[in-house]
Amino acid sequence: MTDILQTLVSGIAIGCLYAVLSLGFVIVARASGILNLAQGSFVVLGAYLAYALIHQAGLPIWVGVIIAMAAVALFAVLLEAFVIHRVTDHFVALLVTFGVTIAVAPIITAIWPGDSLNLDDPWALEVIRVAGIGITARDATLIPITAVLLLGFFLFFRFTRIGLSLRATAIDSEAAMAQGVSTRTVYGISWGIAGALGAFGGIILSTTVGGGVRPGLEVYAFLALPVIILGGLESPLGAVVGGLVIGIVQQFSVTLVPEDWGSGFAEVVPYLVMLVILLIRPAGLFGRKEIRRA
Amino acid sequence: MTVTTPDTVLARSTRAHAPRLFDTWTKKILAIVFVVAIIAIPLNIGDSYVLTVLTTAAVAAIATTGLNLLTGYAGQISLGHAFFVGAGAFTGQVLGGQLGLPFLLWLPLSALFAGALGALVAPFALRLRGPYLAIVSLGLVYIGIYAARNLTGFTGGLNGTVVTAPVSIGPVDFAALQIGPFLLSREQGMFILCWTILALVLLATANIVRSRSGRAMQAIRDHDLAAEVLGVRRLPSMMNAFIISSVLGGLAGGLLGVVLQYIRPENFGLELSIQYVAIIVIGGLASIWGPVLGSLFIGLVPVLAIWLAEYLPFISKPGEQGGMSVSGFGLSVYGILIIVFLLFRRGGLISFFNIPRRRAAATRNASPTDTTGTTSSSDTASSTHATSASEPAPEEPTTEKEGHSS
Repeated sequence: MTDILQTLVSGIAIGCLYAVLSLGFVIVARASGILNLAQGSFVVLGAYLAYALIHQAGLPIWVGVIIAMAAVALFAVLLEAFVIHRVTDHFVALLVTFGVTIAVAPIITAIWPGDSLNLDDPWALEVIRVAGIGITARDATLIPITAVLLLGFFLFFRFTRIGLSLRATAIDSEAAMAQGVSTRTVYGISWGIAGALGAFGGIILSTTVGGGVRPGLEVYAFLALPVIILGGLESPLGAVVGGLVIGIVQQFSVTLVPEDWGSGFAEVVPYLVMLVILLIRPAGLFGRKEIRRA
Repeated sequence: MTVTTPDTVLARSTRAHAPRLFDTWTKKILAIVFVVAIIAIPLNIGDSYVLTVLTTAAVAAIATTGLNLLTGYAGQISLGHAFFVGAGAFTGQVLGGQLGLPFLLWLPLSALFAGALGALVAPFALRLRGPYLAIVSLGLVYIGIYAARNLTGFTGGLNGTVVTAPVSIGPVDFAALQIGPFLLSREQGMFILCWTILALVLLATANIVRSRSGRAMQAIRDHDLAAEVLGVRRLPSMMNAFIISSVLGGLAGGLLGVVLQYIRPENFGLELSIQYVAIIVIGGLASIWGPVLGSLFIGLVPVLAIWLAEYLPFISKPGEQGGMSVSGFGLSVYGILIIVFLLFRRGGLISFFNIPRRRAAATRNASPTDTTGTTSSSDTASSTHATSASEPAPEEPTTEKEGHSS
């Protein structure tokens, strides 16, 4: 029983990370219909900027994290305004955002070389024991923070004027424009949020035990793609639920799958779940079936 | 060129209207020059490094011709083309090396195996409109590497495998080719083999593109709803494009195996897929020669990076720590070029050579030297139609290339 609970808790911890990463994709997809693969570059930038601010500039960790998130949000807004906004169709936008990730990641890892840069997070290897279940101090801190962050976004979407205009643009951008919503501002804000979330995700990724800030972080951003297919491409709730489901399934596959299935099976589990979902419910758990009118 | 009017889409009896393969004298002459060059270049260049770079470019061009059919002509983005190339490469070694099948059997079979994998995946990825194929294909890369690492009996696992598959058709062995009195080296033979297969692939692709199924893909790409109203079924058409592209990927994979002679699962990761995407974007989406041009261009990037490492301090020399690795430099160049070409030159490198016919006549009269400069604006305008996936273009239903000026 404790084994199962133990796995569940670590699954939720990974799920929170997936939720954060995929929410970044979903927010942009909802506002502008673009699958923003530049999210990978936000993750890399966030992690390395946080490293530079905390480790090299000597700022306290939370200040560093917040400045890094703000800086990446600014990068995302500028990227949208100067590059993505010039592109009219989604086909090209997908390729351009992919190009951004490919171009940025090697440059960043060349500026801060090293296989594993320590972020100096305060948790070290402490483990808190609650009713026989060991929770690392990192998970114990990050799960509530992520929960608060996600809750904050939902309240923002539900109860603020900007949140309302974001939702209106998502439903029908032309109608929203007619009501006086500036779609450019909306796109900017949604990209900014995606940038901040991506940076936060990158920082969480870098605090895993034995991980650190390392090359190849952008690949983890792509792990959020199965999540958004599971949850539905444009559903924020789906991103959170899908993230948790995939995180938990992945952790259980680590413990339950027999040895002879080979190494690295857990890493492909999200993609296998994705294929199953595409087979039985292609629009995702919370996605609507698309109805098109000419 | 390929104006898809209602009756060409609907009726089978209108095949006679399919555009001609070589519609101008320039194209005919260029095709002949290309065929002659396949034999002439290896006979005159003995340098094995140059030949290997060119041969690898030919293999990449075969793979990307497939990808271009899917992305350029059918408007579906695949980030996992390396999966099919890898499948072809390892199947080639299993069939040709382990089972000892002859070249003419193992190469087509490994291409077909990759095609079968494509057929298996296609229904998952193509059921819905949207970026699903991009996501699913990205997943395929990771699933493929996992499978290749763990099927140690076939792939050699992490260590990879030496490729021993034969490359001889009957008595003609391309590893030691005899032309008249000349005994050619393996590099020279492989050059002839790969470029010949590329020529055949290009011919086949050009024919697919101008046939009904090819025009159906382009119609779906340009406006799927309109195409469906005209009787083109979306899913079969897209599956068709995807399966052909997988077959060509597998074909390229089989050849890549015998060119490299040593393959590992890591060779077929996301990096290779990125390279392929870069090739078709830089070369020119929805064009026959674009992938060839792009492959030659991208083939030069690592060569250039190693050369530049001497002069630029931020690129680390091979075997040195610190700075940007040569592969990292290559990746950022691909990324930047993808962005730059998509933003400023949608038609890719090939659009510098495609001069709209009427303009060409006008400039020939005015000044024969200044051609690219004056035509660039109209070029990009019409190539927007050629590459746009979702943009409806009601006044100009389907244009294959920039050559058709409205």
